[in-house]
Amino acid sequence: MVGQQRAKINYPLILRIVGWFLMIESAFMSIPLITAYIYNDASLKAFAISLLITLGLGTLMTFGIRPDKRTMGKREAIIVTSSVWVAFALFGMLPFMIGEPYLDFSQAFFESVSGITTTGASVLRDIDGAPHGILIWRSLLQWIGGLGIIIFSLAILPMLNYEGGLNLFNAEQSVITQDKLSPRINQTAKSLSMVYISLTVICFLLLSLGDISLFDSICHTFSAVSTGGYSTHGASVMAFDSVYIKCVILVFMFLGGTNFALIFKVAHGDFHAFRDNDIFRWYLAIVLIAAGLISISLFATNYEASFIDKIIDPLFIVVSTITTTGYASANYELWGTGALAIIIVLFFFGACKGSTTGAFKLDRIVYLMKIVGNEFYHILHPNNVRSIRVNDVPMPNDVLGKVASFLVVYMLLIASGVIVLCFTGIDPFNSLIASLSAVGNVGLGVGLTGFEGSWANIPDLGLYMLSFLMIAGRLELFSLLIIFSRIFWNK
Amino acid sequence: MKIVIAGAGEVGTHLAKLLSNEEQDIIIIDNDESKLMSLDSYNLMTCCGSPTSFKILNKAGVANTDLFIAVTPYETRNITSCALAKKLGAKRTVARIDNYEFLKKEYGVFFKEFGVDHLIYPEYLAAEEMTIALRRNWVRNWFELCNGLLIVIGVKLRNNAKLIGMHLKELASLSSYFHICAIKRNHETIIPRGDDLIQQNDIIYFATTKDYVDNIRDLCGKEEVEVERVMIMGGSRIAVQLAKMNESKYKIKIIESSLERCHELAQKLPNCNIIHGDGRDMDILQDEGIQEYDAFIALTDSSETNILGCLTAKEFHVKKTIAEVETIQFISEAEGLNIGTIINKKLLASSKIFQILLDNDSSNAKCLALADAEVAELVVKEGAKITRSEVKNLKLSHDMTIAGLTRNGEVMVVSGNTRIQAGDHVVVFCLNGAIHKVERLFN
Repeated sequence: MVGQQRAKINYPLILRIVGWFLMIESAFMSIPLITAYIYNDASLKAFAISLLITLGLGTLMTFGIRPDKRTMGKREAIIVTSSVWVAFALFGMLPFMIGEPYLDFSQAFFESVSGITTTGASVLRDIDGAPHGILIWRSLLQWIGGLGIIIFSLAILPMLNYEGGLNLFNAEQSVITQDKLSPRINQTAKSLSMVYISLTVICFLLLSLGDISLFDSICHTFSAVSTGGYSTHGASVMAFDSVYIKCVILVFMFLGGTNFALIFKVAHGDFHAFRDNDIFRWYLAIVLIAAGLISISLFATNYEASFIDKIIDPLFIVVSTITTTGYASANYELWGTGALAIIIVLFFFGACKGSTTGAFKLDRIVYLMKIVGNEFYHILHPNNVRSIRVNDVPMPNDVLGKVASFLVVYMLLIASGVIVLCFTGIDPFNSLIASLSAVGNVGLGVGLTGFEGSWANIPDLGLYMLSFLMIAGRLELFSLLIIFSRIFWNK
Repeated sequence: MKIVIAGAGEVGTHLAKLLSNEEQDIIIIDNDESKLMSLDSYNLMTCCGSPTSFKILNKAGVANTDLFIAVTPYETRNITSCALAKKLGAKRTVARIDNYEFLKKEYGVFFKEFGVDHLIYPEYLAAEEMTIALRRNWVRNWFELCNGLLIVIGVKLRNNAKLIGMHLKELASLSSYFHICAIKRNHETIIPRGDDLIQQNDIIYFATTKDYVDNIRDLCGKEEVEVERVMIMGGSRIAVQLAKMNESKYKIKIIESSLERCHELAQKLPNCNIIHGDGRDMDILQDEGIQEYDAFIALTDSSETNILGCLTAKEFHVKKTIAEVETIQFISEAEGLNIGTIINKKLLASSKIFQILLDNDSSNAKCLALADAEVAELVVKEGAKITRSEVKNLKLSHDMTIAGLTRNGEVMVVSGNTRIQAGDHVVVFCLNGAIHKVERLFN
């Protein structure tokens, strides 16, 4: 109160919380461990060792560190959020290094980051031959990262149910305006987690009705609902060659890209919520228009595929791109440059806020488009005063600043990604595709990283840069980048 | 418990923050988006819109609300929104009012039927508190609990107090007629233990009975003065309320800077002396003979003016000064200065709300607010956690202490070996953020 100075950053508390999260991660590691045991495959030892290391260090940090103060301010929350994500990636990569496929540090880190940020870009060259433990771990990482590590934990850990927890929530989900479902943060987190878990269960049940093995259906459920995109096959969803599987995955990718608060409302009987939501209507419209255009171009050219595939595949790829999933149901690189251009533009879009998608997010695009419309109107009616309304709620004026600065930073990140990748010897086009794909957590590639290529073609420096872009993109840029700013550390 | 607060003004925001820290589910409604923005970083939900709109009330989920609190600046709007909320299904409603008439007993049933269960009138509460402060002018705070059997008083110790330099455990052996519940020292309230030392400038909170109040006054080296003449600076609504309550007891002079307001005051308060002038002006104070006055009360809209006014009055050797300090951050600072009693409408309103929270059925509970602590009186319910064992074995948390209890109309001092029984009236002193723990112990 009086004579208050800027408090020192409470490092012991930060370390302790990261310790909790490592313990949670080690609990998740038991799932691939059991899988590896059942299939008796090569990754059993790797997971046993990784689990022990993670659990040991987590326990040590949680019970060995006694912070004097238990208060967590905004700065602590930002550091905790970023370090939790990095720590999850660092320990999540252990199985990739200790056992088969014996990746080196940069590749393992990239693979792990690509997992938890739900990007889905892989450096594994032989996915079909990888051990079952590794495959389920990749999908599970995406499932954990999908909704957000912190939200999950807020629902479970009662000690985070105070202002500190709220700061964490805001640092992970820095969206334009908040969507609180209930007054207390742990209830909101619980409701969102329930939506996520319900989607997961329904998706699994529907998938297992199709012609697909139990293992594949579990893995694909994890990476579809989280809009991650890791598959258990090198050929991705193409491997199943089943319209039913494609449709189920398509629907759940689409739902994964819908605002969970909206799904929650609809699930509680408010069926108008979808119709009344501007963003959802735009989302649906963009998907249909983009898929329609590609379909028409496929029918117009002499592309060889069945009638149904010419309709489903464009829809699948468009949804997979806009929700930043990254599954492929067909080799879209053969669809011609026009279709490819539409897909590359969609790399930038992303779906609704409050979902599991990344990228720029439709909410921001819709808002900016409304401002553009307003400016046109102003040219003819200069004295007219109008408010920008999204979902029929007038937006406060300071939102423009937030959205504009997000756009600028997003562009700068892509530019710096391109520059670094070009210095590693990759041509500008492929650099641009890779950067766009990484910062938007999309995971699809074209050319070098595309269908015939692999992300393993990128040198180490490039992989580190892309890993950085992926985490920055997942944390909505500011929560990570502010740590590197002088304002953050100034006294 | 789910609580909806209508109105994000000073009282509403204060309540929302406080109750959110008490682990209640808070939803706050206001017309003004910018007022709600500042609350976004707290663990609560905001809802922008009119508190008298059915749509907004439904959106805030009033139907399954345990408590609906209307504290917008407008009395009529508060009553209307309470009536709406009650009809929509809120279990209990509280409205802030501005009119003494509404508090009269005969209208209580009318408001109940209308859908307003409780009324809060912060100006009236403030006037009541100041009336006590004028009568008990040697203490900082005077709380009467358990029908006046148990008294909690806060006293600031000057260098002439006999208690200074003593350990609490020495005091315990010296006397058994009081219990020191808390010490406020350097902006911080602590619940003391046996080896804590009493220092100069501490504010000590004693729990005692009526018979021993004089002994405590003696221990603290204080004297009681007979107040006859009271000077009030600022003719606010509280001033009017205070003057109306006390115009027969004291000679009251009110200094008000707005001429228009002076005329209003003169009409409303024929027995008081109304002076047009700036209360900060030394010449006016001297002209009006401030030296002759026993008490000076500063009630202008500005906390700073009130604090400075009281300090000036002290220069003229006025014995008792009371300042209204509405900026909560200033309270602690003002208590450190030489100002007798501090009044804050927000704290008074929130203590009233806590009282309603603590007690579901009747007005058995009592709750009195300090800047960072609460004094609460509760009736122990059958099978409550607190009756399970002796006090020393209960492992009470460090942010609360049991000040005393009355059983069958008799006051008892609580020691480690006391076992609390159902039906006891227990007085608890607890720091902010602990009141929900208290509630859990007693219900």
